[in-house]
Amino acid sequence: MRRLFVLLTVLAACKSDDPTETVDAAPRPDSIVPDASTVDAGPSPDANPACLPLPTDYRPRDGATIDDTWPVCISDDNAYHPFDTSISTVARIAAFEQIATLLFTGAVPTSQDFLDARVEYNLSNGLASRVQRREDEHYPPATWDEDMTGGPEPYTCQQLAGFPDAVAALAANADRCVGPAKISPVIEAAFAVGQDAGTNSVEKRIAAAQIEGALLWFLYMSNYKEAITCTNTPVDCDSSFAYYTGGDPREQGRGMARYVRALDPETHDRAWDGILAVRCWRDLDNPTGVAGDLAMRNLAVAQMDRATLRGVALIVRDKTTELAAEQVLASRVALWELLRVLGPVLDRDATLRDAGLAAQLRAELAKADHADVDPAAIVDALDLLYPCA
Amino acid sequence: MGRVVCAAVLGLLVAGRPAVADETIVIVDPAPELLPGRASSTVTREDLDERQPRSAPDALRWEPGVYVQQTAAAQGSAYLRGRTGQQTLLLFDGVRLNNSLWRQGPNQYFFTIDTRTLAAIEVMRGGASTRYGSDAIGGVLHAVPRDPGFGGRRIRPRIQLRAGSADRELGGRVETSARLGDDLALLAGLGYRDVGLLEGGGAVRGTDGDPAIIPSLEADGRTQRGTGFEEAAWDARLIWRRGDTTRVTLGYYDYRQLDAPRTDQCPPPFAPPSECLRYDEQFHAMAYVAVDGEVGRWLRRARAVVSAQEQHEKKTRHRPLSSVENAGRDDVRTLGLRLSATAEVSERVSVDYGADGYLDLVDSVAWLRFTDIDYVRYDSRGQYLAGSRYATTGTFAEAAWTRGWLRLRAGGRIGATWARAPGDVASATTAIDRTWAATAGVVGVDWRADEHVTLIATVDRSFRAPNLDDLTGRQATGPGFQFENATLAPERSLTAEVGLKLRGERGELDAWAYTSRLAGAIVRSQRGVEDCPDDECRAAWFRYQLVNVDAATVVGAEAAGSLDLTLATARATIGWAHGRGPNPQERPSDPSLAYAEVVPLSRIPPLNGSAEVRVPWAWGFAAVGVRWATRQDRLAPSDLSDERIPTGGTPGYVVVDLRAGAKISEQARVGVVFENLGDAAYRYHGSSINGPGRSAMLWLELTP
Repeated sequence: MRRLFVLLTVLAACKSDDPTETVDAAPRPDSIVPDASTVDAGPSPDANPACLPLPTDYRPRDGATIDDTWPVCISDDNAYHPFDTSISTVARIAAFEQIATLLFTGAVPTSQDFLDARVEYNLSNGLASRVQRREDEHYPPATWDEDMTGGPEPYTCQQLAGFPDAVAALAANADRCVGPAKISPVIEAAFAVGQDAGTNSVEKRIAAAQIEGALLWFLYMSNYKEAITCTNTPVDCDSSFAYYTGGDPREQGRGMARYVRALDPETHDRAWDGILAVRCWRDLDNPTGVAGDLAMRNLAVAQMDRATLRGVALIVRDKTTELAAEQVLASRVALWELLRVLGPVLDRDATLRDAGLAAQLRAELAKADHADVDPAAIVDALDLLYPCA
Repeated sequence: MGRVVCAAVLGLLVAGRPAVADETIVIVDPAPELLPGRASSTVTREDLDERQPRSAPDALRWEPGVYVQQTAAAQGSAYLRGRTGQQTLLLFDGVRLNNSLWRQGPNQYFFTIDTRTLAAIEVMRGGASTRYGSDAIGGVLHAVPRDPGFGGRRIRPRIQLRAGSADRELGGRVETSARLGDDLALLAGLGYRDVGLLEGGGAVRGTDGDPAIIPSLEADGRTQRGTGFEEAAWDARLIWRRGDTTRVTLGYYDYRQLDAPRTDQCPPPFAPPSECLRYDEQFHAMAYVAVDGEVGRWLRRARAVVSAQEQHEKKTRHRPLSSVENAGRDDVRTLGLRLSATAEVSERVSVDYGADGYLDLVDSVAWLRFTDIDYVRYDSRGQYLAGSRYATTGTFAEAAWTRGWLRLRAGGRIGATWARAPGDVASATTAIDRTWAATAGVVGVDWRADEHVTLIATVDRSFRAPNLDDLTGRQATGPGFQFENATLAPERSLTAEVGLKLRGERGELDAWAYTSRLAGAIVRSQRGVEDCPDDECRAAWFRYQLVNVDAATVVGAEAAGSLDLTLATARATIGWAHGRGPNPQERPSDPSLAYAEVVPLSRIPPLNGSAEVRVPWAWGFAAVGVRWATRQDRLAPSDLSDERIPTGGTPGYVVVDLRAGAKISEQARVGVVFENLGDAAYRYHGSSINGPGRSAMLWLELTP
């Protein structure tokens, strides 16, 4: 009977109607996204003469390679030379900037702003597609005992997402499967709140702040991840470069670079040095095939990661200082929500550096109410944990 | 040595063969040879009944020089001499099916022909633009519909049922042939099919030992995600005979396919498993009136056909993790007129001549929907530009002079093609208004050396004008995102072929060799983000634009033979093609980077063939068939980024099928096909899906 019903339905299948277009509100005029910092963060800790590069760091700004231990390579002219001049990641950073224009200006975004931003987020092969599969290469590959025999086996997070028990599998590997397990849910939930015309301005501010924190988290994570996968796929080094810089030269910068450069040019330059170190490694290590010198890779990636993590720390520090000075309740709430999303990104590395300070930081970031937070404790912990890039 | 072999073959052929056992009378119209003296073969109604192909493209797998690619289980595209899609012409009862939205490379449109309505499929390999106009570069596929019967009972109903285990297919057709008068008969039918996920023989692996990324497989390692579909079709064909020489045909054919995933995008590589591109609606409807007749010696086999077609596609990319759907609808309505006739100028000279014209009217939209809040936003343009128009027209004549065992052929066509599309500022789409003159020609000679041997040589010039898909289309393709090139020029092919036909009482052999040079070949060229017209293009991993290259060449050979073994009939085919062309990518500025001036053409089939042995008896038949292909590792630059092709190329395969059928009564026939007895994991080069694994298909036909 069911097949007969389906048959009759199919036979009667006329062309379905095109959907009715939703009427949008008036578009917001384009606005320039201000530098991330609006509060004087004080003198840069890197002004400390003690903040010197490590002896093993690649130092392209110093010109001659005799100043570092690295062989002559393609990055020695202090410029990034892509494997492929067409870096699709640049388009995703452009989308990030478009979202920033709509949601991260400090003003209260409207529901239409969230809808427009969501469209940007969901472009084909856009940010959403990458967030949903992003893995944190700081952690070992995900494992799962899918067939319940013989113990867990390694899988990609994409594979876990296709299992019947995907929710449990991803949750069990949440650190590794950071995109689908942690970042994407924050962003999707925030869009759901922000686009709802029934939510109030405070809720919209919170949603925008959560999206900003989550996307910055994603940009940092992607810069690291692509540097690692560049081992097998050389063009991933280009993606790593673009996830930090937006494809811009050192003197400029979009995406994460825009934030970090505004807060501390030296940290930004150290991040660039690290990116060029990664490119140098790849140039020296079988540039047309699979790399084999993992020691050099790890050296280069560690240099880059130190700098970009300090960049994250500076953003968190900046927002914490802003929180301390902020008098408007709605803004305080929003800032705190951003910090609760982005701050824990530092926990893994902070714990390696100093378990006690990391615990202090963790405890503050775990507080649900901004009124209970001790901003000075956060800033002090960060200054001690991340004094240099 | 060659002469000895040839003589041996000839000896076998002329040794005589026994009569074929009677079988249930099937309504069949013998298909006239599409183009006399050219490389051709025919899939008969009997072949279709016995082989039980899953689709019209699938029905061609046993034909020489034909290779069938499938991007999805509900799609299929035949390669003729290394060319497919836009470069092959599809006809239905002489009506042109190709329209201006057909894309570069394989397409799904031959799948929209219901094989149960067909008497035969004619396959003609090689250029045929003289007769048929644009697109007939690789060859022509002509679907010949069945006619109602004028003899026997007044009402002849028929019920066909079929079930398959590989994809849990269940479907059938009911039809009736009705004799409404001495000169008026109707054949009307209705069919339906529900097809599930296709189970193959396992994963197909690349040279790295890893399974191909596409298709995504279920946990059993065999069932292919992104397969399965539903279809329904109905048709009516009314024949009115006026005297002995004139008949009027009214035909209506409607095909509807629903919920058909595109396998290589369901899910796309590296995308979440829940993401899927589906063809929600793939419809094709055509109605036509044809008048066939003869008026004196100047209008022999005269035909006038007026046709109207509509091709409708609605597809949706489902992205449930983001509660997003990207959807689009593309419609093209085609009006057509074709006039043709043969003039018997003298006892030795005849001229086939005619004229045709087709007009496409296009509508195209695209939108994004947030499914959690039912928010819909339309893009400023669809995959194409709404309001686009495309027309192609021409007039032709081809003469044949026959004297004794020599026959000379020569002909030509002149015509024009016109394309017009509005611009769209928001998407940086420029308007187009272009016209091309079109010419084609053919010369050939057939020499019947004796009653058994015929030698044939032909030189053909054919063409393909850029269509609206080339000039205005933007779409995600297998290798990456493809955007339009409004400045494309036509492709013009020059083909030289030689053929040998051996005919004997015990069998026959056809063998052909050809070289085809395609000037201005339209190929995919990789582009940079700076070339992109929109953000979707910029964010894609790879970006392509169609370009004309200087000349691409395909050389090849194909052969088919059959032999009567007294108690059985054997048949074998083999086809080989080698395609190459200039590298569409510019030479890199870094001299240390590898660069080849000449590269393989995309998705040229490997060496492949088939063999069948069929044993008939009074009440049925049994047959065994083998399909094989060698590895294809000659890959074009765009193939390297095409996830449908495993790393290093597509492995070769050998697949064995068994078939049997029996007439169990005057009103009933049954049959079975045991497919892929070896359960091989295989795929046709360039396909997204793997072939069915070891499986069975049962069919039943009732004529109460």
